[in-house]
Amino acid sequence: MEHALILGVILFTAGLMTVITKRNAIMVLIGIELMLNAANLNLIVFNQNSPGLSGRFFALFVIVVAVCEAAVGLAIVLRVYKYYQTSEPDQINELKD
Amino acid sequence: MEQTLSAKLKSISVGLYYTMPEVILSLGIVAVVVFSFFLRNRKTNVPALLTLGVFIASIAYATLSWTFYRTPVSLFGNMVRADQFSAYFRILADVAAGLTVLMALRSKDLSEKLSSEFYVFLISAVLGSHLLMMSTNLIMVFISLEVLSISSYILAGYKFSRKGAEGSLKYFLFGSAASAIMLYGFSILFGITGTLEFTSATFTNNLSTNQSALVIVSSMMAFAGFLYKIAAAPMHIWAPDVYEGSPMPVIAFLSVVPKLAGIVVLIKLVMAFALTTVQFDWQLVLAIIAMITIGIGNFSALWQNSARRMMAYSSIAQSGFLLIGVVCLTPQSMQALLFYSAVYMASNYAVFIALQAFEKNSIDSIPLFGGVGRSFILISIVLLLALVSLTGIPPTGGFTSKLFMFASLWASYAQTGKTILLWLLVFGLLNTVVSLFYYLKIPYYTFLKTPGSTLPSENTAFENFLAVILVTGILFLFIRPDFLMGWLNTVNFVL
Amino acid sequence: MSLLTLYVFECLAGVAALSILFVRNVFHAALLLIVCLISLAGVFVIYNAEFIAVTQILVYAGGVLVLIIFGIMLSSRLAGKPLQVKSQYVLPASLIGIFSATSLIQLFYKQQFFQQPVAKAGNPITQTGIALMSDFVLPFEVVGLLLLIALLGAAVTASSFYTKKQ
Repeated sequence: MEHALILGVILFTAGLMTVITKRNAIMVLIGIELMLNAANLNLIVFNQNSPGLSGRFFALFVIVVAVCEAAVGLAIVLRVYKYYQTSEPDQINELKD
Repeated sequence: MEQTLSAKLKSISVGLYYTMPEVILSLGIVAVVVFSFFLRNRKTNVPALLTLGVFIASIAYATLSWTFYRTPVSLFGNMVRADQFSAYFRILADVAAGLTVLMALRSKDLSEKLSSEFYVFLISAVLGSHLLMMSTNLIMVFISLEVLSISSYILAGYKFSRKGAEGSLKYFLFGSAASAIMLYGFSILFGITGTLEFTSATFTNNLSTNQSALVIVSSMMAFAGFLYKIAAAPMHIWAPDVYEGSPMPVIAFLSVVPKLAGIVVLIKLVMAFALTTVQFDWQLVLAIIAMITIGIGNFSALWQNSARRMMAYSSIAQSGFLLIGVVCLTPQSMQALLFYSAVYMASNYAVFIALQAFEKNSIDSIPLFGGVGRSFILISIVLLLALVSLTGIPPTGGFTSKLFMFASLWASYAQTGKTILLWLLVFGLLNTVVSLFYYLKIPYYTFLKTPGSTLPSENTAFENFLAVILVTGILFLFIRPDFLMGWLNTVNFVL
Repeated sequence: MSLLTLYVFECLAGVAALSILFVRNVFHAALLLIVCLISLAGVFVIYNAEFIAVTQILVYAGGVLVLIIFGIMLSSRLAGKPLQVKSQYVLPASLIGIFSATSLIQLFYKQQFFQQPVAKAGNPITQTGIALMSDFVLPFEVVGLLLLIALLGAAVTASSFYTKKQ
């Protein structure tokens, strides 16, 4: 087994835990970027042993999509900040039953 | 090399004919963007009419070339596949988007700030759902899911208010976390099978020969993204907040189009797993998810006071019913699913159009509906019929569609003898009764409570007209279900 | 030699990713993310994905990180306090994290992954270009549209044109 896969697992769980524990929207975004990179690493490592370039191209497209997601996400964070003066999801809780 | 390359390029140009609806939508995006540069007066309705024209052209092309899709064709190097099954759902998505444009024209949430960009995001969301429904490659699944999601995040914040921003942020954080987990699952599946074409024989064969716990874990991760898109059980938490903070036309759109797209691609993925010989009971897992989804949706809807939140939980419960079609995975259940989706789309849009008409007259929480049946006779009756259809009682198409769905579930149980299917059937039937209590809460207030002081202050003739057409369709499907079913019987299920 | 470089890059990426969990300052987290992503680019080079590595550095270090840092600066302008971030659910999250990491690594060890000897083909950049325009033309075009949408969407969402002061 490739040891890079263990790095992938570490990145994925670190990202997941960041998403769960941190109370700042930008921190959550950083966690999501970590998870996407864990998947990218897997794709590239696995592409070593399979014919074609599909894994690498998947990784390439994932990078582009991650940029789009980050751009739109930060724009949303900025707009929330305009209204609430905070970027902590917990303090943004007007919507309730 | 040269020869194969020119053959590839030729097949790409052939593929454009099969994906003409998507080409039309992409050109529509560019047209609306370019057009809005030259727009002086931002109050004009021209971008809306242009968008409507794009959707009508897409529907027209898909309907006219219906026989074209009889034999499924793989296009663009097995990235997508055009077949009748996806063509049907693509038409439904286009119809829903067209209705959204009509709603947006008359929406109070949008009218002041409505810009041509709104329609750009609407078209791109529809384009994403089209490609998601057709995709047979994990690359395409991920990218089109993101096109759909990113457009939806922007659309969900289009109310430009505190609540809108909050709903949009929650939608975004949940959505991107879910799609990151899904992507990690995809990457492991790629490592196990060595291919990204999940409908190919290589994929299923390699899964069958390498069965292990990791296959199950990674495919569970892969499902997370779709469960989020259809707002099914563990990934449903965003729905009520988004529904409360978004403009009404956008909610109507989000409650139908992403749901259908998610269901279609889920069917294809589950089909790929069902073809393997992995010793794992997919039916059991999906049936449990469906039961939890129906239960959570229905029982939370009972306590809601806001019409929007109630409809959010209702849409969660409805995706549980849609999942029943995926659980069975027989040709009969697929037909039931096609029928169910059409009726669900019509009834949901009728409800949201009626709610928009009421909200214009500042009636939004359920107690405010008290006695409005006298001053808003037509729209109240329409709302009653649409809600009755969502519950699934006669004389509406909702009854027929639930009947088909449960009949296919029963047939599947009789065929396989799995007790979980029987449990699902009983649970679904019981929950239909539970849903009666909250669906009929609004009609109970409108018709049986003492008259409120609200009088019509806004003109809602256009909403009345739209909703009446939809409800007539629902009633017609109760009297003549064979009209649609006969057509659906010709749909080919090569999955 | 290349194995040693690989280990160094892997350790850097792993340590940077794990320390994101423990820092309390968002800005530090963003800097750690940049370290992690650039070391990952090094790992990609060793795994014969040079094109992806260059894209990773250009797009992530040049694009995403700048975006995130702008986001941090713009959303802390008025508050004036240091960017401390609180944590929640620390105990359950760390239990989930340790459990899922160990079980995933175990599962990875047991799993027989797909393996097929691959012949080294010609110039990777030429291959990449041809594949982008033939086999992967549809995702390529769709990603292009997605960039347009994201650009418009970010502009519309963040602009104060629509946002009424409350």
